[in-house]
Amino acid sequence: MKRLLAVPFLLSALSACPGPDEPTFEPWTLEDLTAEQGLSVRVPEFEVPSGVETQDCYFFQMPDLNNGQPYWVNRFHTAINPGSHHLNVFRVNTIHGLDPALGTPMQIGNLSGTVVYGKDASSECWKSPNWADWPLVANSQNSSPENPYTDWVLPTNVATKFTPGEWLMVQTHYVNATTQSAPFKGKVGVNFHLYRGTDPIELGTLFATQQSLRICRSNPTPTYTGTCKFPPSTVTITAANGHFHSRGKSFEVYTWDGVTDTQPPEAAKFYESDRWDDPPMSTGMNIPSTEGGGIWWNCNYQWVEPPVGCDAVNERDPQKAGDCCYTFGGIVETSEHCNVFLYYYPKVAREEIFCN
Amino acid sequence: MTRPLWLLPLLLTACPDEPDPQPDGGLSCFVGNPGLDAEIQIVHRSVEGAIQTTSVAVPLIQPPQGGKVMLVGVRARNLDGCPLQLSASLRDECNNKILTLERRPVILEPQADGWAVPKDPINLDNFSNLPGCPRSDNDRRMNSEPYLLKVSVTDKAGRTAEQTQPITPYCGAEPEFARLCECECRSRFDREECPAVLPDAGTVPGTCWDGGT
Repeated sequence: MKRLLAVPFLLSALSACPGPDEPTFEPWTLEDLTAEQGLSVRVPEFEVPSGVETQDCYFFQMPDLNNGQPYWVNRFHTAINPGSHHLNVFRVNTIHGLDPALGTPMQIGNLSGTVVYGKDASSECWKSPNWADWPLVANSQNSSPENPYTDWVLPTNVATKFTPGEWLMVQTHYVNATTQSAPFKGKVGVNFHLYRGTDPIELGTLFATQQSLRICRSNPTPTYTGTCKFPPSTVTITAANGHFHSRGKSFEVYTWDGVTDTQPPEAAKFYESDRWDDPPMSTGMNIPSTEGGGIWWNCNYQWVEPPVGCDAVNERDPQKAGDCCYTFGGIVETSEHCNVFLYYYPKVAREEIFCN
Repeated sequence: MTRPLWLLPLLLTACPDEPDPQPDGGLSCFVGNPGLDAEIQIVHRSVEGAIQTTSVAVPLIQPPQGGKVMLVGVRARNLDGCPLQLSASLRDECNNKILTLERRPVILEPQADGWAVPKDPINLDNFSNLPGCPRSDNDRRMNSEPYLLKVSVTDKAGRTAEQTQPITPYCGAEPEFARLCECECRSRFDREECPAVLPDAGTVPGTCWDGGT
């Protein structure tokens, strides 16, 4: 009798469960800026086929918007089609394997540039040592279908400096596989709005990574910690976001005094996210660093069975431990990250910031 | 058609939800006596991959990512070493500032003597890879100067132990990198000062060819 009753209950239950939502998305629009307003970068729409994870590096030179003189930008406005894993903008520095000159010529909006496609991990656009010393300009991880925009206005009298002719790289990363889906085509836009004031304070950026990661079946809930110290002067932290992949459970960033060797108190926490997909970017913060101190960040993970199977994960493990360990790498499906994006002012020399 | 309200709890509980949390992996390797306080001794890894009890001298070793690190770990008992959260820091007692700090989970392996030591010491993962050089925020050189090393551990059950010990990091454990190490470990490292200091590879084994630098 129990069995007879259970069947209709089960059918009722199943029929009542919500099915997958039909994807809907209102295409985004960004204002096309005039040269007096700034610069509009538009990565052309591209396909992200099912089962594909693609990372492309778009290069262009900053145009002359100030009669040959450097100019300042104090607002970054991005719009990103759903399915984006990240959008990072870097200044090109030392050229190793990733060379704008070796890219495929293309129009990036009104800008002539090149692209180095990354359809698979053998592409130079996937190899992070290639941009290890390329300063971060801005980033966004928000590609929500409901609101794909990130409108980041820097604090009053703070701006980012650009020089006409300098190369920038816009790196897109789209995933249409098991951990993330891209039901619409890939498409990215970034507006750089010119600063109109005088004598701004230069924005500094920090892109720091922890690379000794092992999230294993036998050790499924590890925490990895990183620290960065600023030189003996204080800076003000204005924006931050954390980045990991789908095994990431929580990301925390604290101010750190540079003296204490234990985790800073909760009161020192200024960023927290429990989202690996579209994690929030905190902006408009006004957090002074401690003299001689810096930041402390934690990445907390939970191992899960890889949807693509352990063989693909084991294949990447340098130790070949056979323990289904996710290790450091950019491919979302099979590897992990623990990266912090931090924005502060005034800028200090990159060599003066020391990260562990 | 409306469903009776009494079905609601069934409907709610029957819907597929988030997958169950993963188990903790089941890994455990308690060593010693659970009734006693956890104990640790600081150890470090040699260039060859041997585990050595740390007294004063700790080698600065070139890891795959470059620079120089100290590979610091623990010999431990009365705790569960699978896994163990390991935290290591190096403090300059002249100004009380922490020069370098690293935390990571490590796996220990019980030994016949009742202690556990870093598993697979030939690999670097079960040691703290404590960055030493280069750095730009040190007032003294890193090598051949005394610093204070602190190591602390916490196991899954919350058992903790820590030990602090004066050490002197040194260059020369890898002769081929000794000159580069001396340069990189100066106080307030300047990238421009060390570019030409590269090890001479000598001849390619079995040939007369110059192996370059």
